[in-house]
Amino acid sequence: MSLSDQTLNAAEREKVQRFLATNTPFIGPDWDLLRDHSASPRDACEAQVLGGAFNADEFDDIRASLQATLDESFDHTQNMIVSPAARFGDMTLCIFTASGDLSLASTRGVMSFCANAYYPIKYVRKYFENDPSVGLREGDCFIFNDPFYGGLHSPDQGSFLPIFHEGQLVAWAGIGLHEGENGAKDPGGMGPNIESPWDEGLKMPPFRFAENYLVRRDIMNFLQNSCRDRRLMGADLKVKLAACMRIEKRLKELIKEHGKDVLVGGLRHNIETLSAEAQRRVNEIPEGTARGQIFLDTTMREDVLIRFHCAVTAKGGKLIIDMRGCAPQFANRPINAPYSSIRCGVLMALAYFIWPDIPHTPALLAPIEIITDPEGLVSATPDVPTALNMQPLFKVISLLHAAIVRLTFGTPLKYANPMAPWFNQVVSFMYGGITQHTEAVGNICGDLNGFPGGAKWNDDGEHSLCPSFAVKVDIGEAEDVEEDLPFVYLVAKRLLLDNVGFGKFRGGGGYEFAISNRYSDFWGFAAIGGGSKFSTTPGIFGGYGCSTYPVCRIKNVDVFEAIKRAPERFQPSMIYLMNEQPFENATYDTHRAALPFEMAAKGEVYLQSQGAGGGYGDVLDRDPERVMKDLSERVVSADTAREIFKIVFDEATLAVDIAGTARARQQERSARMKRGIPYAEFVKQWNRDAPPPGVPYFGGWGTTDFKLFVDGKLSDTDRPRPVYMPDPKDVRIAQLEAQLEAQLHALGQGK
Amino acid sequence: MKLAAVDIGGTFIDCFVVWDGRYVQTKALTTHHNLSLGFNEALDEAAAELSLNRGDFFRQVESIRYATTLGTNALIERRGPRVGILTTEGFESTVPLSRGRGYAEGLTQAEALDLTRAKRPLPLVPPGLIRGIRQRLDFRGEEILPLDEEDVRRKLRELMDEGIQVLVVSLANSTSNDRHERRIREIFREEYPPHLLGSIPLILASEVAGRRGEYVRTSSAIIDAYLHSIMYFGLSSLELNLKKSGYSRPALVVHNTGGMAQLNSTDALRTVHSGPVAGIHAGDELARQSKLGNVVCTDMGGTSFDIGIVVEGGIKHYDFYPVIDRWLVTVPMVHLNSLGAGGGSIARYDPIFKTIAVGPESAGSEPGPACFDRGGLRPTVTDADMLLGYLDPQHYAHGKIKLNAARSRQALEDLCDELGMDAVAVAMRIRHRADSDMANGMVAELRARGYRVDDFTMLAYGGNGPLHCCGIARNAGIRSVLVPPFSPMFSACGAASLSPMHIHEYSQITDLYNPATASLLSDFERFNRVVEDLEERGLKDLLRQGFAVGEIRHRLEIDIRYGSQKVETAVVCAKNRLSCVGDVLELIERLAVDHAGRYGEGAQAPESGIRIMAYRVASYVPGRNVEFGDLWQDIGKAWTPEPVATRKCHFNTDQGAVQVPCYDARALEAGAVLVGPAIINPGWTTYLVEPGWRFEAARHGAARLTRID
Repeated sequence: MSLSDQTLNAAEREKVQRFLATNTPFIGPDWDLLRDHSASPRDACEAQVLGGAFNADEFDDIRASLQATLDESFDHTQNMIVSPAARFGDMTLCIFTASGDLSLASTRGVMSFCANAYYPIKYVRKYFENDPSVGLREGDCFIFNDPFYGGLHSPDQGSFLPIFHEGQLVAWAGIGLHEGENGAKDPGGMGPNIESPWDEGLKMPPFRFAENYLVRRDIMNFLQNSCRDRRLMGADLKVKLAACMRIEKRLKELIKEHGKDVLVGGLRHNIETLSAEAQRRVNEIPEGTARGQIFLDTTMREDVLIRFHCAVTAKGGKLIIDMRGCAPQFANRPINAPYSSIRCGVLMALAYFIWPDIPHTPALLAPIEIITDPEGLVSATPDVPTALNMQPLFKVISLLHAAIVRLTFGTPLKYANPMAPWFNQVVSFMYGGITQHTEAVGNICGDLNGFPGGAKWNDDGEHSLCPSFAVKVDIGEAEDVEEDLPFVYLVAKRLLLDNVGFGKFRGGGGYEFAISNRYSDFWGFAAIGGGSKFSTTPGIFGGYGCSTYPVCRIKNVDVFEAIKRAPERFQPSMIYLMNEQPFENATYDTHRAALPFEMAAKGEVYLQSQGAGGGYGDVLDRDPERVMKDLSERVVSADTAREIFKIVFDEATLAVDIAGTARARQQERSARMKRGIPYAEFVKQWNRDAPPPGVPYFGGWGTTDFKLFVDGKLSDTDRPRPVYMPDPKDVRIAQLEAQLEAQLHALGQGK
Repeated sequence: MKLAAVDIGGTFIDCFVVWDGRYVQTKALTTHHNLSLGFNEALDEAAAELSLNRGDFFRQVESIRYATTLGTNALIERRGPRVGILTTEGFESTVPLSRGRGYAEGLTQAEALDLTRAKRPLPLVPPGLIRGIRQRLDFRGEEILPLDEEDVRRKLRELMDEGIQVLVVSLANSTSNDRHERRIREIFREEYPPHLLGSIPLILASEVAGRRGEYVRTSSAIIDAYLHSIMYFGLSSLELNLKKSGYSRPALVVHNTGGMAQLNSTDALRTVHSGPVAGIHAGDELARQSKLGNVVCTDMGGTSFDIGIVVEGGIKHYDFYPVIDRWLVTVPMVHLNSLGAGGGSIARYDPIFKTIAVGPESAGSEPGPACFDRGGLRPTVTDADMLLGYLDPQHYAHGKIKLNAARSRQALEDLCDELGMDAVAVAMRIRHRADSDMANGMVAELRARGYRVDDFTMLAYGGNGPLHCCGIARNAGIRSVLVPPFSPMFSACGAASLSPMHIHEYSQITDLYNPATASLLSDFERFNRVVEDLEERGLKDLLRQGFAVGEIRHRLEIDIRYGSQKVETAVVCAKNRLSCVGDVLELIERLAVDHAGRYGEGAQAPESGIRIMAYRVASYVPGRNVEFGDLWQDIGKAWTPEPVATRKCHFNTDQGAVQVPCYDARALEAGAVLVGPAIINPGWTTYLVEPGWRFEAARHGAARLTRID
């Protein structure tokens, strides 16, 4: 008989509850808290201030002052922080109400840290504040990184500090940033080799690392001992505490100036004002549903087809984001995303691409409802690895962006320019090893930030600009990298020909780059992208999506020696080097865009290219002069101008034959008509009951009533189970053994 | 000493003349079509005040120096020549991609946040005019790929055939080794000898900027190339004009590094923002002479609120990577933060928070605020000042602009409807928002650099500075403000007090302390060689201008950082040469003190290594042209001036209008004391002494405003 079956009186029930509370072996994630992004009810002080007649002007002053504080603290912290990503701007600072709801965030940096930052604070308040072994005191500072406790993914870290006034908790200050190295299996905290949550390095639910405004030396020592870059870990712990303390100091000055109640009311007022504004904007969206799907072509270790599906419905004052029909989670691949990461994607899509004019806080999510399958790739559980959960997260941004652009296209008032999706893959090299300055490092290059933009309804997209998850961040300078790290950019930044999403307006193009280790005897690279075989960035309203690009490698060569011997054989071009293979005895290969960490000998070359933003509208509607400009700037080739855009022109002068172009385009339109079939017939031809045989398909099949397919086979259960992938090396061994067996069999020597 | 300093601004040309201990200030409207006209008018007026005719004035004046916005305007208007670039092959898209962030340089944060409207500015160099050259050096300057001279000749021909008018050569790692860049220049001269008509200017990026970073260095060289001919012809015509007037010496051009030089020793890039920088220099001079300690210079004009920091004890604040117009460059420019807040800033309704937002959009000088009656229809901060009664409609800007209050009221109507308030209440909100934004900007600026607001004196100048300084200070929690001497012409005054100076930089990482090997810098010869080379370059610049070796001084500054912290602290070295480990330790100690002063004790991280990132030598000819002295010395007994009029003004929505005494320029005579509310209009600007503030006039028209409530 279980306890719940027993009839207990009140005293017994209390005793039982106390026993259970003090004898819980482990306080795991709080799922209710994790899924609930609504603001806590007003507390007594907030209710008192906002329930009466308040001075909105004073709130306005407080908001402006706090915003300046957050932005100024951002600048200051960016100067002091050691993490390379945070120095490029991958960071956010925030202020929360006493309940833990985010009131205001810095306008600079990456807002993804904001979406779940409420959770670790509410968690601490719920589980630790009244626990005599932990408690909550002035001068405490907490740290966390686990995505099931409010982190985004394990290489990110957040810290928060309670702010008291005369013994009463009035607010919290917080900071989130991409730290990188955290002792994971792969240097830099993430990589394709991660096969279990225990490969992900530090797994920190919120815990106190500083007391009395001092970082605890024993805790710092422990954290430093748990990762490769001890200098980075130690220095940045201090910086995180200092950042929170700066915010605290300013907030206390404001309390002195305006009084505690006004400040508390002002923090709450921000949340309620922004929630109301988000609600008003959702109410403006015409009721209806827009759907979309994107396929990822890799688990990071093998080529597969993973489905991300999304239906966005505006109904009854709600915006419902239904992500059922996505793939199941993978037990031993790092691309799983907890529900909370998906919520980040939703917030980023709204803030960056739909409502860029409004302060970016989670209050915007008030009228949003998110539905997922249980234990899927976008609602992962803690027993699967999640270090590369930005793969699903970035796809969610694209899916939502495209869906809401379609849903809101007819609304007269638009807060953002309608446009095609931004590029959504991480194209950069991760690195690790010992530098020419004898420092142990592990992190990712600034090329990560070079995502090209999608085409707009009225203009072309911008070439490599910034990632879809941040604004005004830096790609960096090759010279600075070369001075710090032991590799050379043989190609630094060169736009790759025809690498744009074609359309009436074309998406922005991406650049190619090539690097080679020159100074280190202990160095390696990894890559964490996808989309090398199946594009993940679509166009919109007839525009083309991005092309596909692999990682390229030239091994068994010292390119620097080879150049010295025969300089004429070297050209800084991925296409030339891979097609012409100019270095004798070197091995040239292409690889899916996810490359597990491997050692790179001096002079071996690694090459990649950023993809492209999606195109907008029909290529036949593109202004021929825009095509010629692209041609003159080597953005597109003459073949593309002729074959895709159907331009008739003089290749020497780039003069357009207007009449000839009109004829060529009319011919193409006629050819399309001939190729076309009635819609009902198309649906009949197009629709299938199952994915094509042989395709390693993972995810729901269909638009609404999904059938779950795992590795191309219909799943025998409604409830998705984590998919366990065999080790690619075992698969290869098995293939080779089978070949050997077949040959032996042919020789009559088989088993 | 007899000298004239001129600040050629967007609206006015300010002139400040030092004549054997006498100071004369004049102003003329900027004549954009021919700068010489306004330039002459301002100088003629100054000569008249000195009872001299033009000929005598120009014969006697020993030095004329000027700051100009000519370069900034040329950039904004895209009036430059066709520039071509030769760069390292494989780096061709470096400039077009502008580190990604380039789309947002020079924009407000709100504009930067909107990715759906993100658009890079029209390029100064179209991608079609960029060619990659076969060559490559590594970060140490060692050759990876030799220079392919045939390739150079071929690409040069291609660019010349495209009709380029200036050529920039910018190769990767050329600051470590400029041999390839210099060889390209030789080849260019072989192919296109300078005596031939088809020859064009060629600029090597490594000679324009000595810092690492291929994008920022190329970008600096492009702007230099782009402005080169415009600046040359513009400034030459000014010089010609001076020669015609009888001035036979070369004029001096103010630099944004805080120095000045003759035209033949001036890079175009160094002239941008030179006016506001001269104002900060004046603040520096004033702070030193009057022992003010740290000062924060605030210049509120019609479109912007410029903030500069001057710290006692020699810490230098440079922007190593300033943004000029929309371009990130590298030049050690005196740090200046320009906020989009001024008299012309436009107020608008914020529908989200149901309140008022001000700026950064500005009505500028054309059409200007609605009350200027020049067609402006949108409400501005000046319109709010007008409706609150602070401005004299008949005597604004020495009576040169007549103000129309009805236009201001009209412009505020929509805001009144949105907020359900009357015009005065709305005007008060606009003014409060503007003052509060400027205060937040100033406070954030100080705090971001590690300073406490309490440790600074606020200097308020510019056309709108004395009108808004009480409000800004109150919002910033500052209790005392100094309106400096000659405040309406403070930047011109700064230009007058400048010395000839050149700055040269060299960026190279040098370990002062390497924790991995537990070693301190010991290669003193290398350190000293770098400094010697930079001093030599500065010496040559000044010798070329006719100064004697004995007059020239060199100040060595090195930019040092701890480990991988981003921030670099510019440390002014006590010695220009290192000779023993004690010198190294002294440098480390100096860094620790400066760093702690800014970022707090404990923020230093020597355990993660200490590195020199760049060397900088300022070569200058010392001199002191403007004697501010102690502003409070010998001012005599306090006295109360007589008002010349009264005006109804609004300070508080609850109290209604109050009668405020108004004063003329006599109230600025030393020793005058007033208690707010009071208004002083000496001509070019309006001083508003808000209720709860006390006004005390010091020497040279300076005034201290102190909060007394």
